[in-house]
Amino acid sequence: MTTTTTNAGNGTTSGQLHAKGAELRLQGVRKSFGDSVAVHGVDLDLRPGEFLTMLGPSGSGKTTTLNMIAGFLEPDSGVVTLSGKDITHTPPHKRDIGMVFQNYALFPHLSALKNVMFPLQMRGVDKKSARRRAELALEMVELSHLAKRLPKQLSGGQQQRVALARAFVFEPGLLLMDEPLGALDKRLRETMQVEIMRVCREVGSTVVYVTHDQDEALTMSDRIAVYNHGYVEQLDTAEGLYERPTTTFVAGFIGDSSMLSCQVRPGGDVVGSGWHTAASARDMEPGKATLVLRPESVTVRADGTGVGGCSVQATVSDVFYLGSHVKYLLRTEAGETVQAHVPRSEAPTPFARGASVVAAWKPEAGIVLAE
Amino acid sequence: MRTVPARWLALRAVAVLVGLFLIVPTLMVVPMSFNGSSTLGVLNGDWTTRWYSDLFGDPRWRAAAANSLKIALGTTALSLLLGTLAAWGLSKGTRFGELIRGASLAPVVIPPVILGVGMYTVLLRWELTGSLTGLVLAHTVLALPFVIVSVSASFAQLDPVYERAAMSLGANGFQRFVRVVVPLVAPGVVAGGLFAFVTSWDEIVVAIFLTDASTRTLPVEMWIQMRTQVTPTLAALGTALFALSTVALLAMQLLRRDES
Repeated sequence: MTTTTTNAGNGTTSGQLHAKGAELRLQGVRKSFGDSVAVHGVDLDLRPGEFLTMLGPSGSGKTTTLNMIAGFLEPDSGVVTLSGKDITHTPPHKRDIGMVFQNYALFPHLSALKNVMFPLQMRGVDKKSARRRAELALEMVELSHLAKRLPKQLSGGQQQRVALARAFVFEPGLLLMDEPLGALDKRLRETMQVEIMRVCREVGSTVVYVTHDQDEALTMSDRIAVYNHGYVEQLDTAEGLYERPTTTFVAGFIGDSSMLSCQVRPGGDVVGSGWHTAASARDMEPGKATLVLRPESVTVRADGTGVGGCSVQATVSDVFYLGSHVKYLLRTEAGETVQAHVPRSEAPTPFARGASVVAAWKPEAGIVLAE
Repeated sequence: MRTVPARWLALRAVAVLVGLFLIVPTLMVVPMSFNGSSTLGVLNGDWTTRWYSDLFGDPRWRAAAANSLKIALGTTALSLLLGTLAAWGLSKGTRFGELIRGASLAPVVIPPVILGVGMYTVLLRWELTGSLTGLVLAHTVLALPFVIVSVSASFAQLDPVYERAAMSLGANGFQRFVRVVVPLVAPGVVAGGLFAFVTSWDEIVVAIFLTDASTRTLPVEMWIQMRTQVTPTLAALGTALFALSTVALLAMQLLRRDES
């Protein structure tokens, strides 16, 4: 039996499980499988107690990164440090990292309680206190009443709670979650998002969460690392990603957006098909670029009179009534699509399909990204 | 009248005949074991349980049964340990895995006489001929392929995520094997154990090479008795063994039903 000096043992007197959030650092971590590179030199730096989400389409390298943090894969190069300790080549069972798996991975032959006791018993905690602490963990996920059930006698959401309790019961400094809500339906997913956030805050561990669901990422995270083709495209807060995307991929992946191709002229003027803004990209190199517009910063008018900022002539190709706002899909004369969300209060009589309109936005609302 | 019932009847008849062909020779020993005639294979009008009291009263049969049981249990234990570990390793898809898996089946296809001669030579050098240990080792070679095949079948259905989960929860290799792997492949282990037991219990060719007067197993003792005096005691023994195997087979079927 290993007698590792884990922080298993802290916080038991207070009647709460509590971990000391660990600092996680990835430096130039790279992994390839044969000829295909899954993760190109990724750098990440997590503060103790931070909730970081790795967001990206499938095959973008986020799960590979997670598996290197967990120790299931060894990076080809780069260093992983946890609380200042190099763990790049430490085997998974000596890392003291809690993990929640995509399909829960509860041991089918053990009851919920025994599943949660498992990591404590592996650490040589005696049966009695292991039991007490497992009960405490189940209480924190509000599942004490089902402790004796086998995994197959529990619903998806309940299994998810047991998996969560099992991952934090030994008070690890770092918790990893690999699309833990992927198998649940939408309503339950939303409940569990709140639940996971609450438990993680109570426990205090640093969290790395993997998902391909942008709403989940925006709701839960302190910061989000957006993955694409094995690179971290941008690492920022939800607000930063939405307001200041640095690549068209991020702009397209986070929230709705319209993209208009344009040219940056020397001096910073931006010229598109049927529109232009003066000197709005002064710090950019001249060349091809893309203008990103969030739908709520676009207004729709009957004509161009009184439009102070930028505007483009367009035709309404679709109108959707979405309760709080009206969603327009507009087609410019150059054939590009602009999306606009207009609050119901500002559009008492919405434009009909086929109407000729002007889409307008403030120059500072447009994000110009170089190709 | 359509022709379908005729075809159906023909199929039924063939099936019944094949079934009888398979089972009647085995069942023949049952009436023989209860018949009064003292020559095996001749049935007369009297019925008796004398052959059973002869069988259970004879110290030679009891000694042989005890030897067989010890050897079969030893073989089961050793081949389960080695076979389950082997199947675990092979389930990881190592580079030469398929080659090793193929090689591990060799004892099934090599004629037992060849194996017997080979083992006799090796065990003679190790001074293990005529010992229970030697026969356990030899029978383990014969039983191992069955254990590997049946445990591997369980591994093929085992999601590797359970082992990863155990790893992430702090379990080392030994703890994973005992606490997670073995319980999850238990159906294959139990089936493999039954195969291993039966393989050793029934085995005669290698046993003839490796046993002496004090370590004779049941099949060897039967063979020797058969060549000297053909009494219905053999039929009584056959019936007893038949009953035992039937119970074992039924147990295996029940387990398989649990699995599915």
